Amino acid sequence: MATEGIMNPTLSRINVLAAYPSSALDLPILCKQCDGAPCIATCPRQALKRDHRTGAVTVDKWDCNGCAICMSACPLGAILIRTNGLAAKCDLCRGDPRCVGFCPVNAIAFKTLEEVSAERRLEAAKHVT
Amino acid sequence: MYGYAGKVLRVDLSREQASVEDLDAKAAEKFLGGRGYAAKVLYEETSKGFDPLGNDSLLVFMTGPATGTLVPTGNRTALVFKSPLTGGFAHSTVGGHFGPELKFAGYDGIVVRGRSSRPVYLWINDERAEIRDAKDLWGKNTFETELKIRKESNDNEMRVASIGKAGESLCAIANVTVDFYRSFGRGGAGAVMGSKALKAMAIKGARRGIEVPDIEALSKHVQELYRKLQIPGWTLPKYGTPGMLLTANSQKVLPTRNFQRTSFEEIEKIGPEQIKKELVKKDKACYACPVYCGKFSVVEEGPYKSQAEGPEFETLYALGSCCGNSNLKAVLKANMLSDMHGLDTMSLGVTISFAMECYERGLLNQGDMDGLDLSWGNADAMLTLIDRIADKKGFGGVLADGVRKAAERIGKNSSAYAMHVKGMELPGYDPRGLQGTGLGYATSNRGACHSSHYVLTPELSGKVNRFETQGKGALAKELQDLMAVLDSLVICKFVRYAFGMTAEGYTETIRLVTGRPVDSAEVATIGERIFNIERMFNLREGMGRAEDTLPRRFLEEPADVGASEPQVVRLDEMLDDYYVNRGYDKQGRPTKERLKQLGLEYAVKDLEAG
Repeated sequence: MATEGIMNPTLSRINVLAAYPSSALDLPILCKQCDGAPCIATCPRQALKRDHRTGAVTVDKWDCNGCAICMSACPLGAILIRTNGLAAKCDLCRGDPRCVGFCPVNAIAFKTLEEVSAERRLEAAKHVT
Repeated sequence: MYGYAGKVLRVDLSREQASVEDLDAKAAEKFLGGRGYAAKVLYEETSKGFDPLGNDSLLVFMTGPATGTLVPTGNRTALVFKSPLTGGFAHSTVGGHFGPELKFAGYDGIVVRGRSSRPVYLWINDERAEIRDAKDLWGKNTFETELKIRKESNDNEMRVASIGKAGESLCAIANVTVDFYRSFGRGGAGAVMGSKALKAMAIKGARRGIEVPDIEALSKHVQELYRKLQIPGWTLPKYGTPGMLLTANSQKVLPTRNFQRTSFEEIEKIGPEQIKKELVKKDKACYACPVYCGKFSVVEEGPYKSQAEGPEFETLYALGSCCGNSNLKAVLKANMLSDMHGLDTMSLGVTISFAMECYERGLLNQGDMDGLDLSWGNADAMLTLIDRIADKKGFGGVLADGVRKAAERIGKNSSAYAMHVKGMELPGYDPRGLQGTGLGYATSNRGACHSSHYVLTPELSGKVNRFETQGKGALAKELQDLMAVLDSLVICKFVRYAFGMTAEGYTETIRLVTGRPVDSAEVATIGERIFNIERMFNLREGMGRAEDTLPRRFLEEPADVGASEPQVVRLDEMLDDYYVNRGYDKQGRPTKERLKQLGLEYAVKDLEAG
C-alpha cells in the first residue's frame, strides 16, 4: 500500500493464503530474500540486485523490462508483475518494513542479527543454573 | 472519486444481462454508501406492495467508502432488500473479504433485478462480469458451492457468496453465506436470491486499488485507531462475542427457554471459558481487522463432528439458552449446518424455541412434529429439525418461514409465544431489563434488531439506568442514526469504541477516505436521512405505529431482570417521546417539513400511504 499509493492487498508483497475450509491456518507468503537468489541469477539484465545495507533483493526499475523470468524462477511465487509491466517484490521498504507496524498481533518483526542474538542470550541465561 | 470505485454493476437476470454504470456521486455524498446508498436505490426503484420473491424485487449489494481501505474493519458490505420475513425494509451486512474484493474488481456495488428462468451464478473477474449456468451447483450446500466455483475458476482466492438448500427452497429465514463461515444473516436475503434462481456470486478483484487523498495521513489515522483499540481486558479479541454471555446472564437479560426465564442455569457449559477450552483452535480476523473476534472452532469426532467460525453470542443464545440447550458441541454442529444450508441461526433458534414452548404447553404433540421430541434441550432433535427446515420437509416446512408464520400455521393462540418484532425474531437480550433496547427493537426498520442501535451498550455498562424509560427516546434515535452511518461506511460495530459513540468520532475518517470535509452535524444528518428513507419504505408498505411494538410477553408478563421487582417493557411511555425526538406525528410518520429538511422531498408523496 505504502509503495503503490493505493489499497489492494493483491498488490501487496505479502500474500496471505487461507486453507479454508479444511483448516483454519492462514499462510503468509513473502520473499525470503534467499541466499543465492534464483531471481538475481536468472535476470538477463541484472535488474535484480542485493541491497547490502538491508539484505533485501531489489528491482531496478530502469533495468527491468518486465520479461517475468524472475517470476518464473521464484520458488515461492513472491514476485509479481505490476500493471505498469515491471517486476515488483518485497524490498523490506528500504529497511523499514511498513507491515511490521500494522500487524495487530505482532506476528511480524524486523530485527537485526545483533538484536536476535541478544534475545537468545537472555533466553539461554534462563536455563543457566 | 476518493474512497469509491466509482462504478456500480447492474444485473438483470430476466434478460441475463450485466451492465456498468457510474456511481451516483450526489447520492454517495448524501448517503455515504453501503446501507444508505442501497436504501435509496431500493426505495426509488421499487413501488408499494411488490412481492419480495417476485420479478420486481431488488437485491442491492453495496460497499462503502471505507470498505477495502485500511480503516479498521473496512471489510463490510451491506445487502438491502425487501424482506420476505417482515414484508418491510431489510439490511444485512457481512464481513470477511467479499466487499473489499468487489471494490478491487472496480465496483462499489451490485444491483440485481429480475428472475432467471434457470439456475445461474454471477462470476466477476475484474471488468469481466458473466452470468453463468449453475445447473451443477443447484442443490449443493454453500461449502460445496464455494469450493466448486473456486476449482472451476482455478482460483483458490475467489470470494464467494452463495445460498444453500434453505435459500433454494425459499425459507424466509434463509441467509447468504460468504467466505464459508460468514453471513448476510438477517431478514431472509437467501430466499430472495433463491427466488431469482441466483445460486452464488463469485468475485476476483486483482487490478484496481482504492485511492485516498493522502495515504500517509490515513495510515497515521489508522494507527491511532489501532492504539485506541488496545483496550485492557477487552473480551472481544480474547473470547469473541461469547464474552457477552456471562454479562447478559448475570444481569438477568439472557433469554432462556423462549424468554420464559432471564438467566440460564447451565451457563458454564456454553460459556466463553468452556468454548475456549473445548472448541476454539484459532483466532480469525476479517479483512483489515485488528480485533480478530472470529474464533475457528472444531469438534474433531463423534456425532457432533463439525467446524465453524463461532459459535457467536447470538447463536449460543438462540440455539443454546433459548432452547434450553447446554450441549456445546451440538451448538457448533447446528452452527455449521446453518452455514451449509444458509440459515440465520438467530431466527432459526428462536423459531425452534417457539415450537418447544408450544410442545411444553400442549399446543403441539409429537405427531404434529413428525415424531420429533422437542423437549427443552433435546439437541439431537434440533439437529434433525434443522435439516428438515432447510428442505421445508414436513414440520420443517411449518417453521421454515420464521416464527410469525409458524404461529399462523399452528394457530391455537400460539402467537402469544412467537418472539418477534415485525416478523423478525428477537436477538439475545431480554428488553424487560433494558428499556431503551426494547424501544430500539420496536422501532428498528428491519424489526427486532439490537445492532441497528446498540442502546444495550450504555444500558448494560450502567452509563444510563437500564430500568428507566426517561431519555430513551432521544438515545434510541441518536444511536439508530449513528449505526446507520457505520453500516454505510461500511465498518463493523465492534470498533465503535475506537471512534467514540457520537457522530464527531467519524468525521476525520470520512474526510481522510473521501477527501470531503464533513462536520459532526452533517454526519448525524446522513444517519438520520438513511433511517428515514427506510422508514418511508416501511410506511409505503403500510407499516406504521401499529408495527412499532413488541411481543405481548414483554408488555404483559413481568420478569425478574435484576431490578427490585419484576419488570415489563413500558413501551408506550417511550414511543411518544421517541416520535417527538424524530419529528414524527403520533402515527409515527415524519412530517413533510422534516423530510424536506433531510433532502427527501421525493418521499413526501408516499406519506399519505402510511
